[in-house]
Amino acid sequence: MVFASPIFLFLFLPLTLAGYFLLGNKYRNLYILLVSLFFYAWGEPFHVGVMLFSILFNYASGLLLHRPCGTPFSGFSKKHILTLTVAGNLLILGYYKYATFLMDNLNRGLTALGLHTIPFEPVSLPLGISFFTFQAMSYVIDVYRHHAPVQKNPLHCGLYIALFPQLIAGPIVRYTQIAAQITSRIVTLPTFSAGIQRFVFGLSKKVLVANPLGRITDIVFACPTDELSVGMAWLGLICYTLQIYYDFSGYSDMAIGLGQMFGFRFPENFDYPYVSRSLREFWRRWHMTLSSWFRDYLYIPLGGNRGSTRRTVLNLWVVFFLCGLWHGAGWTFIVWGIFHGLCLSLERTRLWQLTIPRLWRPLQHLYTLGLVVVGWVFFRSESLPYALKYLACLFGFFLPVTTPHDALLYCDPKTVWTLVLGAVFAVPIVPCVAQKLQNLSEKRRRASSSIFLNTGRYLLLISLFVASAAHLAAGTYNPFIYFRF
Amino acid sequence: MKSSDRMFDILLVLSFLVSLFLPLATLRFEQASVSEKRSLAPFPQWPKNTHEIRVFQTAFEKWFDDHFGGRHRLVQAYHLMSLALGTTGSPRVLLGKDGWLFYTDPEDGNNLDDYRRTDPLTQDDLERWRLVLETKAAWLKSRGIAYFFIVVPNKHTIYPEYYSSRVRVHGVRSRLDQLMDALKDSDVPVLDLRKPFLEAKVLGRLYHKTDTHWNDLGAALAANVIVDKLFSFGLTAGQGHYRVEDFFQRSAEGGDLARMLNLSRILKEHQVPVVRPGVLRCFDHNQDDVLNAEDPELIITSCRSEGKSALIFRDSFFTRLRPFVSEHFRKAVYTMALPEIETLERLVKEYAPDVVLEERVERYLKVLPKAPDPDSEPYRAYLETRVSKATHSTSVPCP
Repeated sequence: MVFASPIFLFLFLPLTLAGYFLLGNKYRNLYILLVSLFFYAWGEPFHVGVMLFSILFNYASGLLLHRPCGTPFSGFSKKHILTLTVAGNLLILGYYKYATFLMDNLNRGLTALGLHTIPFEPVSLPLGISFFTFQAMSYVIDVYRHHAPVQKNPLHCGLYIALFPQLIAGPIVRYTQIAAQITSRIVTLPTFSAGIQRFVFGLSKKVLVANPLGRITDIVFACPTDELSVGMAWLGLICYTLQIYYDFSGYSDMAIGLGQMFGFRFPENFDYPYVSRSLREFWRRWHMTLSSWFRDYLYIPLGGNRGSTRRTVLNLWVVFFLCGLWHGAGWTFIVWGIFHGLCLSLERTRLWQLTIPRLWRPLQHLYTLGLVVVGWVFFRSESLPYALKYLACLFGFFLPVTTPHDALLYCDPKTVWTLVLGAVFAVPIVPCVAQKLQNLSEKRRRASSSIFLNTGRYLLLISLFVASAAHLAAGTYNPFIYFRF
Repeated sequence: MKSSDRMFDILLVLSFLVSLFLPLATLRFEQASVSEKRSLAPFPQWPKNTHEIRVFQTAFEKWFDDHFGGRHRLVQAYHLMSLALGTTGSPRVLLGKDGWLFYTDPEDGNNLDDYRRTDPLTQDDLERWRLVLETKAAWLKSRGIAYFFIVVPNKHTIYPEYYSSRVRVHGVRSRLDQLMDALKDSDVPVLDLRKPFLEAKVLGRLYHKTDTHWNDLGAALAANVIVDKLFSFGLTAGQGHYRVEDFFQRSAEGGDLARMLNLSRILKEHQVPVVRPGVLRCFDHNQDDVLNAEDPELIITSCRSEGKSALIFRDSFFTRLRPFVSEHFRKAVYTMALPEIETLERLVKEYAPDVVLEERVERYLKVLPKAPDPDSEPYRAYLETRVSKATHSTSVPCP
């Protein structure tokens, strides 16, 4: 079940909220866990077992890491248990996410060598497995490191891993960030209201910006490269650049907002990444919970940047190779990860430090955005050859003789508005304006200015919600010219 | 906390909760949607085993999507917002200039690409068209029945000046141009209505702004062209006689394209030419066995005591055209059945018409007719025609 759907918005969410607030504190955790499992099972009726296994496996590992002396498994050191747990998690993730990819490549290699291929049934991917596996691993590692207390209540451990707002697409929450809230949390009128605001902004990002631009992206990236004009290629890439940001950050906003409605405070996941002036800064602003996960559980244990430059570069490459692989089982994702690793290692060279940071600021933004956008071509393309040809199309190296595709055809006024507003709100204008208005209101100390501001905010939120709901409803409208009874 | 902030929070929470619960509280249970012209998804059966769970989930989502309260209002709001931003918000309807709407459903004739000339018929398609039309014509001719293939122009063919300027034409030939080229040296009589329509635009608007179809004036013009053609073959008693004076102007609700946006009551049509009362003297009456499952839309008209009888394969353009054409026949049988050769055989044997008209709107040239069965009577008639043509065209040298 996705957040941006009528069934979630008008059936699941109202019933979940009603049940949650009608129940007493005692049963709320059990209720929200059951609701979360139902939420997951709705889209993945057969894979819910994988998640339940992951919960129990990591819960048991946590208990074993915390066992007193003289109890069973005392022959195993905590390091052994941690190693086995991490290996177990990676095995589950590897089987479901990468087995098909590995077997495809193996069979391709065998075919190239003229050998018989190995028959293999493709494995279907459980929704959100990358997220809940990383979350579960962070819990076990934190318990091992004594950064987090062990959770002895399986229900609470399950709630941490399966909590529906962040289950499918993050943010990746650390156990330490919500351990206290699992046992004790309060929902007040201002926090619930703040949750609504965050959710509505997220919903509108996803529905009003990401989805319409995504439709154009899909059309462009479905075109054969020999039919792609320069205009079409750039249109597709600009749309995708905004789509991926608004889709992902919108989803994170919705998750954070929903969390707030139930009394949870999730970490931020995006901080206007497209205003970055270096790729390093970009990764401090983009999918922050994933980059901090890789930093704390992989990059630093590998030695981080404490060793030689060569070692640091190697660490970066390893981290970003795996980061690419985490995003998807495909060579395009691997190349995207390696590309980012390469750029980040170049940013550590003296040459870079003497040039780019000394440039005029807009040029620094342009440099970063350029690299990010080139990376998105690999991220979005179906195959590496397609990505490389697409890049060539962008710069006019493959001009089609004739093409039925026309960028102008897709640039209707609504799309142009979406692109413009999408670009404008990808920079921190809203918080800046809001802060200025707040300061102005406080300076004047008049009730009228505060009322005026709140009225504007209220109308904006209601308009965004209605517009988003209208867009979702339009997706269900399927008229025919002739009767179909 | 300021009182205005508290008031804001209370108002926002209440509004949000009402917005969430209202569609659930006002669930609608109708089985069909008039504005969408379709049956709504039924409530699914509860799953009896694990394999049915996923099927149930998908079906339940479809049911909920079709039935949540306020859906139609929200759809209207969506399309109104889109129109305010200069588009329709639907991939099936294109907003042209001056409020004109055009049908662009890629799954239903792909008009947009026909306008752009980027979705032409292939050589195989054209050969199929030619074979089928010639088979029908040859077989009907062998039975002494006249046959005409009528192509109704797309709205954009007659009114390209109202098409969106964002849409650029890439190719040269439309599908109809291609077909006419392919039939250049063929015996199939094709009535191409484009030229008379383009010439008659000065008389008044021939198509609706918010509908895919022609209006009464367009239908009357088509009737004049068709009847004149039939008259030249002695198939009707008189010529087409409808004049501009036979029409008056009035306002009307938006047409099928406005309905596709759920805005038929908002996007009204003004100055629609409507035929004056008394001009048409022939009214439909349905056959007794109209509920025949094979052809529920079969209509038979009997308007004169003398004259010829016609079998007419039609699409929705004949809804307006029918009363204008019926007047000229003793009996006219109208069918919405696909004009496949087997159907033609069956209906010809059943109704024994003097003339067969096959009408098709330009966008449906994309939908290819079924190739004839090589063992069928019509195909044999076609082969005989080919043989006799070849015999006549082969010159034998004098001894």
